[in-house]
Formats: sequence, structure tokens, C-alpha cells
Amino acid sequence: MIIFKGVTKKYPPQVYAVDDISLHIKPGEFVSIVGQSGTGKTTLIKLLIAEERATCGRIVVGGWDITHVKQSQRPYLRRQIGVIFQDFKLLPKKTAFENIAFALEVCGKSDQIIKKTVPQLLRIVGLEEMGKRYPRHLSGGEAQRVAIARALAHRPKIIVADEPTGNLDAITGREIVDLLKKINNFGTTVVLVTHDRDIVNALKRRVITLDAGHVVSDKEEGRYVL
Amino acid sequence: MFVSIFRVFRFAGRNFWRNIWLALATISIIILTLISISFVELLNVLTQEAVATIKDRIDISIYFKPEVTPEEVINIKRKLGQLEQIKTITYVSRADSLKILEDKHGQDVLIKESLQELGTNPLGDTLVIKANDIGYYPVILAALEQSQYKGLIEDKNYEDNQAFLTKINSVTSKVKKIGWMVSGVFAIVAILIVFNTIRIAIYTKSEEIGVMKLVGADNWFIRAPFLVEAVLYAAIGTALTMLLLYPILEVIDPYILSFFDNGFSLVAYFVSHLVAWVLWHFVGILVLTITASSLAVGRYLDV
Repeated sequence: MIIFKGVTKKYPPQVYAVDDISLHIKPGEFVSIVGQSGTGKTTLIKLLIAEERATCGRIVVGGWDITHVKQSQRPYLRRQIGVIFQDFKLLPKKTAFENIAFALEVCGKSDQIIKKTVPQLLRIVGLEEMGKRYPRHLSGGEAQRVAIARALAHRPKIIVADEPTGNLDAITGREIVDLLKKINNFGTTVVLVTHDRDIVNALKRRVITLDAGHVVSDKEEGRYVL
Repeated sequence: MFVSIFRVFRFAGRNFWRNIWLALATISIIILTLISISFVELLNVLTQEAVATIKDRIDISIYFKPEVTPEEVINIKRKLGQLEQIKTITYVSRADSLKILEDKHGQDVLIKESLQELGTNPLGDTLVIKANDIGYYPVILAALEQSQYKGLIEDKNYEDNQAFLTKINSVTSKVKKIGWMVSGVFAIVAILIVFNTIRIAIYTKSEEIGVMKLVGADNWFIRAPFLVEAVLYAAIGTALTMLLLYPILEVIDPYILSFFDNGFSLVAYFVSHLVAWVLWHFVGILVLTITASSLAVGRYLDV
């Protein structure tokens, strides 16, 4: 599903965010990428969604070589990868419903499809009664669920979660990870970037550990070992 | 696709209202630019009309000596009529010339007494020549000067009209130059203001644009609302300019009517050319706003 082959990202003058990384994530896997701050986790995500270009190496997503993906092709890639962030990135002047609908609206989906799809997504994330609430009226966990629902809007093959529990308390964080597990059980590949030791250890899934831009460990049913 | 286009317009409308004061400032400068250009264009129309009126009045009157017989004058008329530069030649007999003189200066005691003292008609026949183009008059005059009829001609008038025309052309060309310069300055200011308006709109929407990119919106869909916004500025600016121009011209029109004795009216001209004016002004200002918007989008919208 996701292949990184000898990928390096160098920022001028001589800063290597990731250095000669090779990894292969299979379809339907739930992979945690861990490491301390500044080890290249976020750069890896940016390379995956083509927000950054690799200095060298190859990146393949779902059989599509995106190493030199054109700007005009980025939208198609991003519809295949749902992304969620620590700060939710919800639009404050839109309700939960509108935030999810927005993802479909801007990609040209009809109003009928939007009216049908958004309640389904809200149900999946357990917020069917909260569609009319604005982000400021939602708890952190609820806001992150809305962000997950939005990420699922295009039925992506991959969900990338960049520190999704970073702004949440432990219990809410675990609920969010449970939701990601549920999504993974439907067959969606999940890439979880985190430095939350408890969550990684509780997951008992594959763990890729980064340090100074290198993969220092890649274990099935791994643990947070830094 | 239709749904997306509809949404692009909706998003553009939302951008417009979100920065309404900035939008009004932008439209104001567009109106100033268009009014300034309109006045230069109207000045051009007025100049053309004035020149045409004066050209229409221009002719050469050739006054023959009293001893030249009407047959000779009519013969000269026939020969001159063969010149392709000449449009019309009117023969005015000495009797008609006297009548015209008496009608015109009948109350002038000196002229009356002079004519009575002479006892006879001192005037000769006259030929009034109109050329096909004003540029032909010197050619016709030169032809007369070199012709065998030179000795038969008492006098001819032409010089004053030419000087007047040259003066009109010189003054209006200077005024037009200043007008175009002012319009140019307004156009540059308009480009800068539209550029900055779109830039601010992009900053205001940066969060939304970020989410659009994240969820896979097409690049054209992200760019298009800002270009549509530029179209909105051009359309509203043109419409308001035309609405403002009408009452302004209504105020100016009486002065223009009194200047031209052929009944030329600016308001009538404006109304009869309204469709063309709206179209050209809109297209012109659209090119300007789209250029400014495209520059801002290209520079500040990373898609």
C-alpha cells in the first residue's frame, strides 16, 4: 500500500529531516510511527501526502509512484489519504455537519450525496446528535471525531493521523485510538504518528521507530522503546 | 461540474461580502478609472464632432472680377468640376451676391451709401467650392493659382478656417494626452488595489484554503473564486460607472447642445452607444482585474 524506498528529505543548507528511509506498509495494516520531536515523523507524513518532495528515493502509494507527483495530481492523491491532525483543523464558522460537508462540497459532490453521506459519517464517529454544533461547542475528543469523519469523507484507502491525541486527555485519547482501530477493522490502512507511549504499547500493532531521520526499529506488535 | 461552478460563484460571493469595505474601495477606484477613461473617450467624440462640423462649414469662395462674364464663370465651374478633389461647386451670380450683401449689411449706412454712390453692382460672380476632404483645399487653391483663370479672380477666402482647425486639434490632443495619463495612473492604482484586495482575501481564507487542499479540492476550484471575485469587481464597477455617467452627462449636455448647432447631444450619443460602451468598458476593466487577481493568486495561493 505504501512504499518508501531510500527516501531522503534534505532542507538547505544541510539538514536531513529523513535520511535514506525504506519501509513497506501493507494494505489494512495499523502502523504506529514513533520517535521524539524532530526525528522526521511529520516530514514523513508531508512526503506521503505530497506536501513536500523527496530529495531522493521513491514513494509509492497504492501502486502510484508519487515521488514526482504533479501539482495538478495532488488533489487525487489527497482524496485517497485522509489526514487528521493534533489541532483538528476544523473551520470555526462551520458546524460539525458543515465541516464534514465542506470536504465533499469542494470536491464537487452533489447536495444529495452530501445530505446522505454526512449523517453516516457522523454516526460512524458517534456524533450523530452533534451535527449542528460549532467546533467551539465541542470537546477536544468530539472535535477530533469530526476531523476523523471529515478525513473519511472520500472513503480513503489510508488514514494518516499526525499526533491525534496530542491535545486530548488519556481517556479521550484512547477513545480516538479505538475509533481508528474500528476504521482499520473496516480495511482502511492506518498510519498513526505519535509519541504517546501508553497508546502505542496498548495497541500491540506494528511500530516503526524513527531517530534523527533514520528508521532505528521496525517491529510487528512492537512497543515504544525510546 | 455544474455544481462546482455554482459553488465557485457562491464562494466568490462570500469572499466579497466578507471583505465588503475593501470590496467597496476596490470598486470605487475602478469607477474612477472608468469615468476618467470615459471622459477621454467623450472628449474624443466631441473633438471629432467639432472637427466634422467645422469641416462641413469649410469651403473656398472664389470672387471673380466684375468684368468677368457669367458665361466665363460657368465655363470655369464646368472645368473645375472635372477635378476629382472637388465635391460641389455652387455658382452665385453677382445679383445674388449683392442681395446677400444687402441682406447681411442692409442696416450699415456706410455700405448703403457706398453702393448708392457707385450706382452699379460692384460685385462679380462667385464660385463656392467644397472639397471631398479638407486636405484637398490647398491642392485646389494651388491649381487655381497656376491656372489660366488666375487673372480673372479678384479674391478667395480659406486661411482662417484652417488655423481654427489646427488650434482645435492641438488643444484637444493636449487635453487627450493629459486624460490618458490620468486614466493610466488610475488603472495602475486599480491594479494595485485589486491585487491587494485579492491578497487580503487569500489571507482571510487561508484556513479554509488549507482545509480545501487537505481534503483534495481541485486546484482550479481553489483558485476560481478569486478570479470570479475579480469578475464581480469589474461587473459592478462597470454597471455603477454607467449609472453615474448618465446624470453627469445630463448636466453637461445643455452646454454641448448650445455649442453645436447641429443638435449633437452627448446623452443621446451615450444612450445610442450604451451596449458597446458597457461591453468595451467591462472587457477592458475585466482584463485589468483578472490580471491583478491572477498575479495575486499566483503569488500567494500555493496551488
